Order: sequence, then C-alpha cells, then structure tokens
Amino acid sequence: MHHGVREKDYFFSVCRQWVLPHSQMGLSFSGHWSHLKDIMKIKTKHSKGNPVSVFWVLEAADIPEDLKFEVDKKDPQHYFLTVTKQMLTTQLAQKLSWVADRMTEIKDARNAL
Amino acid sequence: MITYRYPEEKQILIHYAKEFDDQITLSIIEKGEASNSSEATHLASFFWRMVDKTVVDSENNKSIAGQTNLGDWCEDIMQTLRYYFIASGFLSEWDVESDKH
Repeated sequence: MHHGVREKDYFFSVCRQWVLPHSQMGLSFSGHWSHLKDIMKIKTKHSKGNPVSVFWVLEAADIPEDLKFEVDKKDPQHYFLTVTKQMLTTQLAQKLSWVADRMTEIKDARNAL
Repeated sequence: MITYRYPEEKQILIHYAKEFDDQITLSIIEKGEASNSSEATHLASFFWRMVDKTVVDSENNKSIAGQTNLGDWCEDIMQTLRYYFIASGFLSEWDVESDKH
C-alpha cells in the first residue's frame, strides 16, 4: 500500500511517489450485474456475516480531473478508474477519497441484490 | 491461454487443486487452457469450491502461497479466469457455474 493505494491497482513510478497514466489499470468497478454478482458472492462469503455494501458511482458527474473510467479491454463488464495524467500518489489518494465520499451506498447489499 | 497477472494467482490455484486432489484442474492449469466445454465447466466449478475453502482457511488464519488476504486474491483470480473464459468462448460455462454457487 502507498498512501492507502494498493500497489497492484495502479502503475507506480519506481520510487512509488508518482502514479503514471495507464488506460488499463486502476480501481476495479463492475459495469454489469453479471460481473457485480460474482464479486458480491466472493465478498459475502468472506464477510464473516458482516454487512457487505455496494457503492455506486455515475460515470461523468462524480469523477475528479485526471481520473477516467475505462472499460477493461479483456472484459467489457469490468471497468478501471484510471489515471490520465501523471500525479503524486498523495494526489491520487485524495482524488479517490473524493470519489468515495460521493458514491451512493447500498448498505448491506447481501440480500438486496 | 490463462494469463496470470501475478504468480500468486497460479500458486493459489495449484495449492487448492492439489488439496482437492483435482487432477482435471491441475491438468488445465498445466496446459494453460480448457480443452472443451466440459473442462471449462469443471474449472469454473473448481473456482467456486476453492472460494469456499479460502473462507475456511481465512478463518483459521492460514497462509496460502505466502498470502493471507485470500478474499482479495479470489477476486483477482476471478478476474483472471473471466479474461480466459471470455477470450476462449466459454463465458456461458462460467456464468452457469457461477449461478450454481
């Protein structure tokens, strides 16, 4: 983890202080029910009975500058929240926190979905 | 071919295939592909059985391939397998097995 951002999720510089643009790396989002239900299944099984929430985000309205949703070229039901311009890892962490604050939450979606 | 993004994905799959003594899955992993619809179905079914076992292992704080965040790894492996099932034309087999588990 680098400033709360998972190493596997983004394309970091060697020093890990910078995040570099990449159209096929970023936080993972389901773009279709078929993908979401599989993710939910795994999360629910590993939740130890705790509530599992689903967070929704609209593509255009709630995304800060220099972030962009890109469809996964190998799975059209899956999206990445990508970085389009080099930025400090701390800046990315702030932007992701901004997105998280604005996502709509369905609390305890285990049965709702 | 199944293309792993991280070596741990394959290591975890092999660990559980051996634990289940699942020779068909071990063969698929070694070949890097399912030979037909039946093997694809088998691999998909194996994945969900593996997920259930990772829950038990997580509860027991077991480390698999040096990893303890098995839930996260299941999500990563799921996406890797989805890539393969989509590219190989076996997505319907994946969806059918997914709905069963």
